[in-house]
Amino acid sequence: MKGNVGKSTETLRKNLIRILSEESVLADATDLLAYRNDASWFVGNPSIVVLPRSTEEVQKCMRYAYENDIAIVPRGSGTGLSGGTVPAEGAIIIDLSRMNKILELDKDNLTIKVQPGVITADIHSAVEKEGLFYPPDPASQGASTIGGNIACRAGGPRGVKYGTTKDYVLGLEVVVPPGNVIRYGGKVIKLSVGYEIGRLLVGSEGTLGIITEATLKLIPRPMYKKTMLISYSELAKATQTVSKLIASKIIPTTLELMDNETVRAIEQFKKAGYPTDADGLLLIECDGYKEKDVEEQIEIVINACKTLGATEIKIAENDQQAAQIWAGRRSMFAAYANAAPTVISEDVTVPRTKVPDIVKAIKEISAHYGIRVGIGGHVGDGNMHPNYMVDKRNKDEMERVEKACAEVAKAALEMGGVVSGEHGVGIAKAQYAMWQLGDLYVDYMKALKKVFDPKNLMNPGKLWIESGGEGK
Amino acid sequence: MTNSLAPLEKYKDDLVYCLQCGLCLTECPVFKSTRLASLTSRGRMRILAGLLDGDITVNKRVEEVFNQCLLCEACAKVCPSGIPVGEIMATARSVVNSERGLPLTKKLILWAFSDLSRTGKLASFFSLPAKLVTKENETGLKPNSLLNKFLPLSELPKFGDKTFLDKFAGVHKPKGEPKGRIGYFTGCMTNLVYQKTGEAVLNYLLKCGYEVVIPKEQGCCGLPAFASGEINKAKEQVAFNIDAFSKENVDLIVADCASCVSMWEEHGGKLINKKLMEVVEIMGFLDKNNILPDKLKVKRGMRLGYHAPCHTRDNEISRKAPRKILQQNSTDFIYVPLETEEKCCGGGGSFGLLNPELMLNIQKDKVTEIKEKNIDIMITTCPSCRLYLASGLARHEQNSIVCHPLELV
Ligand SMILES: Cc1cc2nc3c(=O)[nH]c(=O)nc-3n(C[C@H](O)[C@H](O)[C@H](O)COP(=O)(O)OP(=O)(O)OC[C@H]3O[C@@H](n4cnc5c(N)ncnc54)[C@H](O)[C@@H]3O)c2cc1C
Ligand code: SF4
Ligand code: SF4
Ligand code: SF4
Ligand code: SF4
Repeated sequence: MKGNVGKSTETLRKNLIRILSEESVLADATDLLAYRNDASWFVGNPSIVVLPRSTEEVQKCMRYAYENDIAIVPRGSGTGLSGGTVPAEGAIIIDLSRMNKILELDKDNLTIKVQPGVITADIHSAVEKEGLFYPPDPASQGASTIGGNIACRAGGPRGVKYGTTKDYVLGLEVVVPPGNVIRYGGKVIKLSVGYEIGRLLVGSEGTLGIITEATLKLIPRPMYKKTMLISYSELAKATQTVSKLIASKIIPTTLELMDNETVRAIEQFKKAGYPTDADGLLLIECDGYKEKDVEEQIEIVINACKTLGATEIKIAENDQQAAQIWAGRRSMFAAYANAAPTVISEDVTVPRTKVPDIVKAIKEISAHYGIRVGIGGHVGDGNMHPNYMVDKRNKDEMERVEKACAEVAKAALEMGGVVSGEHGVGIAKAQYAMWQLGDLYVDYMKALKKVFDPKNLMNPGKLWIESGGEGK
Repeated sequence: MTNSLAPLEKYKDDLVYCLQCGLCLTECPVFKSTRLASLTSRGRMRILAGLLDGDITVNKRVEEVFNQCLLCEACAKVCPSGIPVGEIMATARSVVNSERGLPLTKKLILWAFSDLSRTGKLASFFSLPAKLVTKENETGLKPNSLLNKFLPLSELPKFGDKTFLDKFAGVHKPKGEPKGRIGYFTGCMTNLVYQKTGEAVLNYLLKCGYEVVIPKEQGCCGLPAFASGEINKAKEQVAFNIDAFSKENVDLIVADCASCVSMWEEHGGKLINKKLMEVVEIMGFLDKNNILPDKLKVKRGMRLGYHAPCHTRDNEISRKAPRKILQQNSTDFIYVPLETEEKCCGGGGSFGLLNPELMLNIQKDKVTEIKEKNIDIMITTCPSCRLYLASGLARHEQNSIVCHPLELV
């Protein structure tokens, strides 16, 4: 894959080919363009991309880079929304996509062992065939890798009841600088030995090491499920339903909010049969292992929604109707994309009782900056996704949206929330993360990083801002 | 920006609207097989933006990256921004051609297929030498071991001595008063190779009471030229076919090849800026008129499978019709739904010939499943899929028959 390659890159290329093989190294400027960004709006400039096929190959690449003082950026599918895999200038990208084997599905221990490049949805289909369940379901599941999910703690609609990726990691194998392999946990579901270094790697966004193998927890697949769509004439009533439900000791599998802007965008994009006059919609799903159990949950949900003045409650009678209800929600992102050239997806998370407040704040802040926003989100766990519909060619608008994001982050922090629930920090939220964590916390993180990565070559420039931020 | 990039200018907005979200990775057979970010729609949109911005220039790698796309548009179906991937890639290839010229293999293929009578002559000319290096079986030609080493295909199409059009061009009347007058666009593969499909279509339509018009003067649908970025050539071919059929005063046109139909329907009209007459895929047409065959002539207990061509993805009724037949009759034979039923066969017209390794890799899961489930007959509605599937199965020593559903009636 020679061609547009500079002189120093040529040496790098030759050396890496010696370590790996010709087909595992990409150095042409054409290919490199495709590795400059993820799904965020940040762009970097890698010097070369390698696609190792084994833990040993990852070790070799890391040793080489570490010896030669070259920054290393792990990459899965590059669907990250916060710039996590956007490379520092001249970095080597280690793309784990070709380590994509499901190594073992252990039906007796309810675990699955996978390489990091396995696509999330492939895990779902492999385990569901056996009547098992791997709950984390990011909307990007058809494209994202499990390595990227672990490195970002990806979540999804089912997070309300079942938690996110971080709750399913039982064991990890990681390659850490300068090329050592550390193994954490395994098939056991309990563990009380030493520091949980594996846990530290979960959510570390490639700044400490490279995940080369993971053992994940599975659960039996719930047999029954009911899906419903509930309309409100006031958004606030929809958001209040969340705490009402939690207070009734009901944890639905899924509790998704869509505001009117979102509903209209969806209907315009794809006729899903959503009521466009509703100010707020909730998509609620309950599941369980017994039909009766699910029906009981549904009853409580219906009562709660009625008390808060729901205008319409639609319960899916069969799989087809459930799919119809989901079709709208699933096209949410596409609907925003259809409505504007650029969509910026944010990810603040607040305590569940604060959902009405943060929704109000998002609306007000966006209105103040004149930015069109659609609110969707996994409200059941307080995770909001304001989606700003903008145009990246419009500089002024981009400046305004940046200000709006920052203010929403601050608002969430004031409510005792966090700046990201599942997308991770990367570059996009480095400043906000510093507001949230404070100097001392960040200093501890830096010190920890130094232990793993004394030369600061692992995905540098992420999680915090080196020169120090403006403080809270 | 150099002037040769001018045709791409009009897609600048699309490149802005590409969110780089990566949802297109979900369905891309080439990405699944290579796992390279550059070999996806997202990557190619990024690369095109780079070309327009002057970050890179058209080189060998750019050409490779653009060529290693099946144009199956699986990505476009999940793309939130509705990027017209097929059209953009065809244009991108035209730009590459103008800078670097068309690869020789493609030139040959295009030349051979651009004129059906030439193709016919070529085919009969080659049928003798072909006999020397291949073994003939019922379904096709198996290259002998020496030739096999150099060929991506493990089963070659068997060309007839005469073309379908030689034998059947003209107007065919049904018994009794015709229900309607239908034009039959034959397509090159049926004309030259799978003539039994042509006969089956013709006979079935006659049996259903339609008058069938098969103009002698019809050519390739233009898809190979379009896909190679030879857009002017494609325009000529589209116009030529329209001309041939508009003289015939038919109610509508049917075709047995899902790829031909998608060319007519998705690109044809746009290319020549004209609303075309209706062109429908035959199985979809039958289903719509409630005249799908309700019996298949197969040996009792045979295991049947279906391969859904990518080119019916946009066409619900055509996609479902073959499955419907299999489901309807399942007392006589066994319909084995494949997990890979809707997965690509890796063919993509000349893609498979130009990128044999990719093709083999893409079709591996499908072929393995067909072998594992021991399918006797695979039905499909795209002759190009049929060619690649048959070859893949031969490579894995699986003796399944691959054919058009109407051949079983
Ligand atoms: C349309 C769309 C919808 C989305 N929906 C959701 C959603 O519902 N929920 C959600 O949580 N996220 C969502 N995301 C964000 C994104 O898909 C997730 O963050 C996902 O986990 C990223 O996986 P990836 O394989 O693409 O990782 P990448 O983007 O390639 O990388 C992400 C980070 O992980 C690091 N990394 C990757 N692999 C490894 C490894 N093997 N070892 C160490 N570090 C590694 C990278 O360095 C980077 O910092 C969505 C994104 C898009 C575009
Ligand atoms: S799915 Fe569409 S918008 Fe998203 S990256 Fe692919 S081509 Fe671009
Ligand atoms: S057209 Fe097909 S092969 Fe090409 S990028 Fe899209 S999905 Fe992939
Ligand atoms: S799609 Fe293929 S078979 Fe159909 S006419 Fe065009 S080239 Fe021939
Ligand atoms: S040959 Fe068939 S399956 Fe393959 S790309 Fe073409 S239509 Fe799709």
